[in-house]
Amino acid sequence: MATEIQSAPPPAGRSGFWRWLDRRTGIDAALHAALDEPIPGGARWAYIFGSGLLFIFLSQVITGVFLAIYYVPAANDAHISLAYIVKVVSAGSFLRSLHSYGASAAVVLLLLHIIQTFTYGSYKGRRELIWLSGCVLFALMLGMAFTGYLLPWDQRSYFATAVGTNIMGEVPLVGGAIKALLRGGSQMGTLTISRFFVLHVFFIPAGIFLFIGLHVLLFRKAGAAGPIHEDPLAPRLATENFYPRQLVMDLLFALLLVAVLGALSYFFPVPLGPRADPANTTFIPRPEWYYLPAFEWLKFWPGRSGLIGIVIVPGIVIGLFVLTPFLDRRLERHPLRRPVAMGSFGLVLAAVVGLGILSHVQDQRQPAVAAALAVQEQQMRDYMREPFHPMLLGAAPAAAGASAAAPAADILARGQALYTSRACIACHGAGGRGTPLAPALAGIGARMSADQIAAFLRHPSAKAAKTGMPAFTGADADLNALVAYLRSLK
Amino acid sequence: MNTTAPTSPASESSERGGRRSFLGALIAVGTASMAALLSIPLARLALFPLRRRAGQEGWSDLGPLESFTRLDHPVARQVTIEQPDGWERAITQQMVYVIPDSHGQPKVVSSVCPHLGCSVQWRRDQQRFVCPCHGGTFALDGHRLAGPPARDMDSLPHRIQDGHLYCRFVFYRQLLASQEAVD
Repeated sequence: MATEIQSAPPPAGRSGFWRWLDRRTGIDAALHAALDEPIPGGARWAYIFGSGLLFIFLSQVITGVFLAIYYVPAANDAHISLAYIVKVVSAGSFLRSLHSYGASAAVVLLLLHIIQTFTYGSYKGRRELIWLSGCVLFALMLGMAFTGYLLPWDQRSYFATAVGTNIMGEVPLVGGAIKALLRGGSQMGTLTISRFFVLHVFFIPAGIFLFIGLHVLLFRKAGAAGPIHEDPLAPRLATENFYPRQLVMDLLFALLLVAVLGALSYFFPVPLGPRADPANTTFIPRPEWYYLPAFEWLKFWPGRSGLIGIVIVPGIVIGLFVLTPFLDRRLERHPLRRPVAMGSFGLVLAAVVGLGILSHVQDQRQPAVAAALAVQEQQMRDYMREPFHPMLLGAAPAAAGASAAAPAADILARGQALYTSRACIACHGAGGRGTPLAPALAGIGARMSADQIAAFLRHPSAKAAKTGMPAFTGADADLNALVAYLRSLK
Repeated sequence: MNTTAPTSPASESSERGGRRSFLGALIAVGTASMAALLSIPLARLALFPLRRRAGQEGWSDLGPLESFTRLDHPVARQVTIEQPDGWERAITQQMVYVIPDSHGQPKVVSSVCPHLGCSVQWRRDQQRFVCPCHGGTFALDGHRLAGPPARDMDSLPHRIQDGHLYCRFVFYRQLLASQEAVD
């Protein structure tokens, strides 16, 4: 009777620490399960795209989390906080470019992954759920690209998203609701950024983590499909384990991705355009390259026919694509012996690529458009060359927005004079902006009533008194003027 | 005798194991060095603010030296100080006084009372500085005369350049007997 049951004999030379760790974690068995996955027909370069996608996703998560250290998702701050990242923070431009190029790389790898698995018929033989979970990942990734594109809040991203959400609004029945839900109202604004941000960093990534797990789990359950001449249900070919050769290929591919994306980010950093100006009527919006085919396609469906272009045709194509493993059910995997499946797939692929190229060619053919796009490019380069200008706080006096209900100007002037002469300004700063000695008072009118403020000035709280806040001594008229002035601070 | 015969299954498997663990080590070293390389820009990004100094940058011009030749009373000047805060820049005004030092040369003191931070004012009738909050008083040269403050009025870094007097505004901790800048 063996006292220890092991699936594989422990390789010689395991250190004492490793044995200690293994007895407590089962790491040997876990590594064995993860790495010793049998691949019928052996390791191949054709299989590197899936793990390449996983690698890019992890890189996006890491760079994204670090960018979030500085980025603020609100209309007033989004653009300037990103400008700060790109122009001031060390390695900011590099990591932001890596994140931006990473998104493009993910789309490219996704296409290659789909082309490989479709051509190899890897969805055959009880692998429908792998395909379906992959379709969900496809949609989630396009959602990441769409939501992330708005966040810089520059001209380009603002207008591209305005058009994108308008297109969704064209969907019959539910379109208006989807558009309003995405924008957080009828117009694009600070609520739109915060919704896109939360989708981009919480909801969609959570879905991607979940479905990557499912995708891999289902893949391991069905087993690798192997080359095209392999039987997808009962593999006949000799197998080779994932570790080490396939892992080395995958890692070399990851290394290539790092080298290419790193070099691009270093030598050609992604530019940031001028801040979005919704009043600009001359800006010509163009989506990111991977949305150009859809953009071009919609030009063919003016007016009422938009229903066909936006819903019916894409619906049929997406439906056929998602249902592929249920429609192409024979176990035959050779692409040349699957003319219908491969033909339709090739047709759609060619149409997508063709539409993308057409979009580019059409822009170049119209001199006015080409010139305007060139000007926009130049504006973006000019903006990048400008030094960083910080957002000024407290520079403008709080006089803006005097309405009929506002107290008479002379009371405010008297209050402001008291604010200086009674030395409130010494600790609370000019315009109530605060100093290291005492908190800001701007906006206090929204938090406290006039009576509350007056009572506090006469009898400061014990905590405030301890840090030097004196009680107001003087006429009630002066007190009221001071309160009116404090409440006017914004 | 020949224990290393290539036909021996034991030695073959241990040879393959050797190749596998060599590759494994290669993969581990490669992955670790790649991760280390990638973490350099991440660390630079995250640690960036620690390498920046806060506080007023540059000097505020208080005017030509001629305005401070007869310092029989303090000359009040408002300085605009800019405090960078990430991508924002807060602009506030502070009052400083130009007063004579022991040699009659101009020096600059903060109007912030070293007691609890109220704004000290010059009282012409009393010929002294009076803090309106808790009654601390200071002489024309900033020396503490009476009241709760624990030290003299805070002198600010100042310099003369091209015939103009410049100062840099600094916040100091309250209540201490010695001047200590607020970070």
